[in-house]
Amino acid sequence: MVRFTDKIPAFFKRREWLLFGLIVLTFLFFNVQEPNNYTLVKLLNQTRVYMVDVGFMALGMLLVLILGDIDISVAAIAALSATVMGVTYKAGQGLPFGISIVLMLVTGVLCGLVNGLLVIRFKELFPMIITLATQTLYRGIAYIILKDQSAGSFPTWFSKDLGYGLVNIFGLDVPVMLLCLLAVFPLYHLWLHHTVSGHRYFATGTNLTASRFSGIHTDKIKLSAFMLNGLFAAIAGFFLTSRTGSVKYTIGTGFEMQAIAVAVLGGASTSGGKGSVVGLLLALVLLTALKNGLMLLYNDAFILNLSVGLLLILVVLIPNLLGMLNKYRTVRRQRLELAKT
Amino acid sequence: MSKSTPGQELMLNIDGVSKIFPGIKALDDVHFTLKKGEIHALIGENGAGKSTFIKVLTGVHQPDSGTLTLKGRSIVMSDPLVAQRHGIAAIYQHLAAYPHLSVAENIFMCNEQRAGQSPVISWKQTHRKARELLDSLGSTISTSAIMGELSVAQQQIVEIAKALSQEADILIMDEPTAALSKKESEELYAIARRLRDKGTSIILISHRFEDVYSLADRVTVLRDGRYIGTWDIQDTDEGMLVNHMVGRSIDQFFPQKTAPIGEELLKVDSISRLGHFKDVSFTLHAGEILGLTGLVGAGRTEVVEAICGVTKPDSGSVTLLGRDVHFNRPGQALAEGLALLPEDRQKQGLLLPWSIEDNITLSNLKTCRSHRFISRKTIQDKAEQTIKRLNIKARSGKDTADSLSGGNQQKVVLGKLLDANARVMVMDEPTKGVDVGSKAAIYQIMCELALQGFGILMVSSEMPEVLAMCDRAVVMRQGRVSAIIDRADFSPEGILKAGMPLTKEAEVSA
Repeated sequence: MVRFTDKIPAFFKRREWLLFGLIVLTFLFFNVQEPNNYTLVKLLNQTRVYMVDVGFMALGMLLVLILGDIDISVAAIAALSATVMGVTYKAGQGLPFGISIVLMLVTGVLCGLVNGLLVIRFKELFPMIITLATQTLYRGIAYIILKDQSAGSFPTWFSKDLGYGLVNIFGLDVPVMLLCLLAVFPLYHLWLHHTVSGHRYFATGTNLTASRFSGIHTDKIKLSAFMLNGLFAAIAGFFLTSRTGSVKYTIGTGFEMQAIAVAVLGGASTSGGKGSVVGLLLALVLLTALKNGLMLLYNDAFILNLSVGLLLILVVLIPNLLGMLNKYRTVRRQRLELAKT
Repeated sequence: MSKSTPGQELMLNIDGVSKIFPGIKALDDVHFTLKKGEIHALIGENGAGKSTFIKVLTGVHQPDSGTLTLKGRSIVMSDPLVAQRHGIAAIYQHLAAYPHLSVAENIFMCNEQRAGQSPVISWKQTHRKARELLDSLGSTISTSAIMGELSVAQQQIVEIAKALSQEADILIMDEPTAALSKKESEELYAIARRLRDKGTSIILISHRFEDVYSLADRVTVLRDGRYIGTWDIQDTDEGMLVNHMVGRSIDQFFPQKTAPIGEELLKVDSISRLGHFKDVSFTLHAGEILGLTGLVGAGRTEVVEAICGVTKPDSGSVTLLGRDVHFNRPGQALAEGLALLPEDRQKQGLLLPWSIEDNITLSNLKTCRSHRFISRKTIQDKAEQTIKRLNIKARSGKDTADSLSGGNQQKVVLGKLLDANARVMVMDEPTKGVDVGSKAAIYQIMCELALQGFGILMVSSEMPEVLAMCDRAVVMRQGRVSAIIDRADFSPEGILKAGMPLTKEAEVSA
């Protein structure tokens, strides 16, 4: 006995389809409103602004969310790492740019390491609170280093070719940055969903104690997730700097919320154990389409934050409601089965 | 001992109550009546449904069917507050008190004493009323003492005072004497009798026949969530109650263990962990099933957790397969061939939302790869073998672990450990909350493992299990090994006596 209502949640549980539908709807909506400014070609170009840096942050955030933790210091890590890069390069007067980049990446990983150590050492503190503290700490350090100054004058290949460069693919001008981001996705997907080490993040996030009893080094898993998250945040800071051309201590403010939003939208659950790289990509596209459209209509960053907030609430609610419905159905089915016996 | 005749007035009538949790029918058509001024004992094995029954009665869980009549009125216990308003109070095994607040504050928590309609708490009144309540129980505990600094027995008295302050006329006592000495138990009995004589009805849940026979007027037995019967206490004896609780004769489902005892696998030499256990030593051999028994709280779980790397012993040494080992986490122990079947399979053993096959292969996922990637096919094949071998009852390996019954869940955890190639299997209460059929199957598996040369260390509170399965039994008492008994010298009395707290034993012999 299969009823129609039984099938609907199964369909919507394929979150990827839900996201895909929302992308199409969002695109059509803004395309009707602004037929000249909101086209696929222009949207593709705007991914440079709206997609790449948040995308890298979201990739790291996904890992932390799968563990059931959260890291709201990523934007601050991006700012601090970029600051380190800018300050050590000193507009060409300091270290070679390559070394500055390495230092930037190391800074990101170190910030993640600090977060991770605090999280595994102080289990009674919520990661939310810990990273709230380190967020102000990291941005504070960036401020001490840079004050109100900005660091810039990076090599041309960085601020021009990478920041603004386009590659012509099948007649479409695709930003170089976007290609960098998209190149990461398949590798990340394979690693997270199809290797033993990726599997362990899901296991640990689903039940930390049982995973530990099953032989997984859960502390190592947690630490590595926060470190990778720091690395991705640094990479996000790198691309953010390349498109703006200079570093200030305030860069990326609020991006952590967008990164969390994208990961959750893409299927991660703040209670851990869930998340999908494909979902993340689709959520990222959706958010990009939405942000770009809203900016065109209102040209006000405030409405942008508001809509991201609304979307996040909705998307956190939907899986919860579906989960409740699903649980109710399972129990009801078992009751029927037991009643028969 | 004077026993007042309970009145005939029916306080509580529970008829045909059932409660279903995912995968398990926790209560199945249970009946229960409680008269005014009687002490009614509710007994049954672990997992028989006593706790669920109490939770239904106190409104924590809502029953799926059945009716609840309180003082002649049909009531829906929609939440714990409703139960409280109707005068039902429960004193739990693990007290849910506020340890850092005073006795008086604990008693009047959520029922704060105020002067008239004033929003300000009147501390004078609070302490005066608390004093009156404690006096009525014959207790001299100071009302300003800090709850957490009291003994368990004193805390229980405070909890009873709290129940009285809410004018409860139905009092549920869940294992009240589990952590009490003989003398403290006697004091509690006296208080319970005094309350009964004043007209309070008491539901007593206890594993101790001593409690049941010195207090109860009637007794109800539950088994596997089903109602077995209610008797006047005079019409019962211990043997009969045990038969009803267990519901089968023991020989029927304990297999014959034939494995020969081989070389030494595990040697534990005077390990200690401050505040948990001290100077614990024993050895475990291939083919041997070694019981680790004693009362709950004697430190058995703490010992095996220290051996298996969940925690670390402060001193002493553990030798596994001839090598000195120091494990920092269970994963290291598992890699060396020492597997731990944890006590709480839902929290420590399983990833409940995951499928059976993913659970089974979790500890040994590295062998389920082709090239660098996980192979679903290998996972399926391996899990299929384990499912067949352990006879796990599920529609398919894709079923999630939380859809299984307790027994099958336990088999999945066991399957995971078997997949990890261990030599020594430590099983902490392997049959706790497991249905009869699965119990027999788990015993069968243990015998087969022993035959294959495994050494098995089984922590168990169930006497029949220890007597029937073990080659030797290590009995613990208050964190120390009090006796190591060979199978030839097994007797229920001997094991029980070795496990009883010292203070109690001293009093008994005095």
